[in-house]
Amino acid sequence: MELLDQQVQRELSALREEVSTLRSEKEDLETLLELTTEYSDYVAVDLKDKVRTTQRESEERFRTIVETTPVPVIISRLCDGSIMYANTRASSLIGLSREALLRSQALDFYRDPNKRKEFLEQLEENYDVDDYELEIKRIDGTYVWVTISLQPMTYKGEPSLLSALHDITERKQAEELLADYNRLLEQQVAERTAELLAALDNLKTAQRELVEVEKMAALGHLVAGIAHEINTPLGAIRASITNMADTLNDSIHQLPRLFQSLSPKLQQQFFALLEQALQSQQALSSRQERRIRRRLRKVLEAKEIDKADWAADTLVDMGIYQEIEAFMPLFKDKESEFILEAAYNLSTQQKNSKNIITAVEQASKVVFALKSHVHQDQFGVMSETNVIDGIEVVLTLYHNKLKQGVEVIRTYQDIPQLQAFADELGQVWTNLIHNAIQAMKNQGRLELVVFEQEKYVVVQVIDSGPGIAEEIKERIFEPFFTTKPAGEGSGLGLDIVRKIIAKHQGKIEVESQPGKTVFTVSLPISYS
Amino acid sequence: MEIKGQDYHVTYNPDRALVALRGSFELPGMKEYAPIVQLLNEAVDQKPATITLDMRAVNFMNSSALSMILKFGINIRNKKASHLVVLGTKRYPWQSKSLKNIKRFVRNAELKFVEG
Repeated sequence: MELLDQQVQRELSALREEVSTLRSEKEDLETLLELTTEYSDYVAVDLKDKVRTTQRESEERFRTIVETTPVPVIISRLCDGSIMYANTRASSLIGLSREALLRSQALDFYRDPNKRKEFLEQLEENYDVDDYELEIKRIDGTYVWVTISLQPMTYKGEPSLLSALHDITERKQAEELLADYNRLLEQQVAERTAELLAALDNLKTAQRELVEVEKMAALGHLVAGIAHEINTPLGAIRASITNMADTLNDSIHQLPRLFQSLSPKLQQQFFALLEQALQSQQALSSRQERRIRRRLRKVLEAKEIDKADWAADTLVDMGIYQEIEAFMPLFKDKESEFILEAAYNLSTQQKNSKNIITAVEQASKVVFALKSHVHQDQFGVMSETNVIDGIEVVLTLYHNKLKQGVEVIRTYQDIPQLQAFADELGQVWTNLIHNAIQAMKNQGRLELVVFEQEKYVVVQVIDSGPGIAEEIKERIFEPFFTTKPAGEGSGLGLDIVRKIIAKHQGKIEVESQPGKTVFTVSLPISYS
Repeated sequence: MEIKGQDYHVTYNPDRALVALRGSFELPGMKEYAPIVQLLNEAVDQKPATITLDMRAVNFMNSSALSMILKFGINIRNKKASHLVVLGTKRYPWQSKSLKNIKRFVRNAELKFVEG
């Protein structure tokens, strides 16, 4: 029993000790727990404080930066656009106090509210919204152009959007001003262009008129020339007709008696006499005539013809100068005086008839030349032209002027026909020949040379006038340049000539020395 | 003897019975502090007349670290062999608040707080 007691006591004692130890350890643990949790709480609070302080400092720094920077800045909540922050610049841009702004939504100030949604979508797709131009609405209702840059950020713990604005009103105004100026400029340019076009039109009209005036002047010259050219044959015709009229009457009375008194043999001789008279072409000087008269007289006297003097005169007047042997029987006839007179009358009429025919032909030639000279080129169409014909036409027209003292020398080679405006080329020859005659003062030598050279037909008009001075030679083709006194000639002649030649793709050159002036015109045989 | 961690450094000088802690103790949980616990236990096991714990260079301690220090105190009390001197600094306000709790276990521990 006692052993068990002792054992139990010992065990109880041990247990009591253990419990005591456990209790003590439990107390320790409780104390430990209390102290460590207390400490935990303390650390947590401490850290929170530190975080808050850091945050506050950070925000202050941010505010300082945003307030100082001269950029209007607004921070709005990403979800609904309510404004969490606005700096002074933003406030003055929009015209609301900062406090009022904090009560507003960003959307209130977009002219086009859809833009904000667009921006958010863009940002979501990770595209930047940077320097985007849009219009902001001020509190007074006006709009202002800005560029906007957006940056998502966290502000006061909330997802937000930082908007930095830049007032580009001035730039927009400048752009508009520029656009206005551009429009004004374009308008002015258009007006000026219209003015210039009108002026150009006027100039062209004036030019045309001047050319017409020149043409009329040239035509005037021509007409004067033509008048003269036609008057001459007309004069010849009048003279001839007058002669014929005079003698016709006598002839009518003479004829019956004549054929009564002439035997067939004598008739034959009579007609032969007339024939010879008609054939006679020579024009004699008075001295030559006198000599022939004397000779004939001697011959007739030798044959004992009555009134040999008168007979010789009549024969010479008829144009019979020699070989009168065959007609002796006529002269010896008792009616010889009568016969001779009748013969004279008849031959006169014959001759005058011939003159009339010649004069009429001459007049026709002039008329034809005139017609072909001024015939209008139909519809400005080219035709096959022989340059030589054109030159000859002009020479015909100037025939009488030339006859007064100009020796005309033609050197024409064979040349092909050209496609040309015949009219206008005629004007060229007229002009050049007219100038040549004037330069020579109607006295001298006019040479016309025509030949083919390589692919050109070359025409040279050469006069023996005093020449063109070296310093003037450059200018003679200038429009309005003339050496004639004021009022005489417009000075457009050679200008027009040059233009016509250019129209034919040709060229004109001049060489001049005193005594020889050469105008050389080259015309291509075929055109490109 | 020393233990070096990323943010902390612990040294034990047995001749002077000095354990010095430096840096920031933020290890997650008691298991991580095992090496330091072992070092502390060794120091106590030596049963020096005075053990000095230098905490002046500790700028932060989490609750597990505090637990470790307090258990160190319990160990010293239980061994009944050494006098504890704890050195701290007023620079870190939490030190004066929490280190004095060692006294809950080691009644006559000496706490010395230096300025700055």
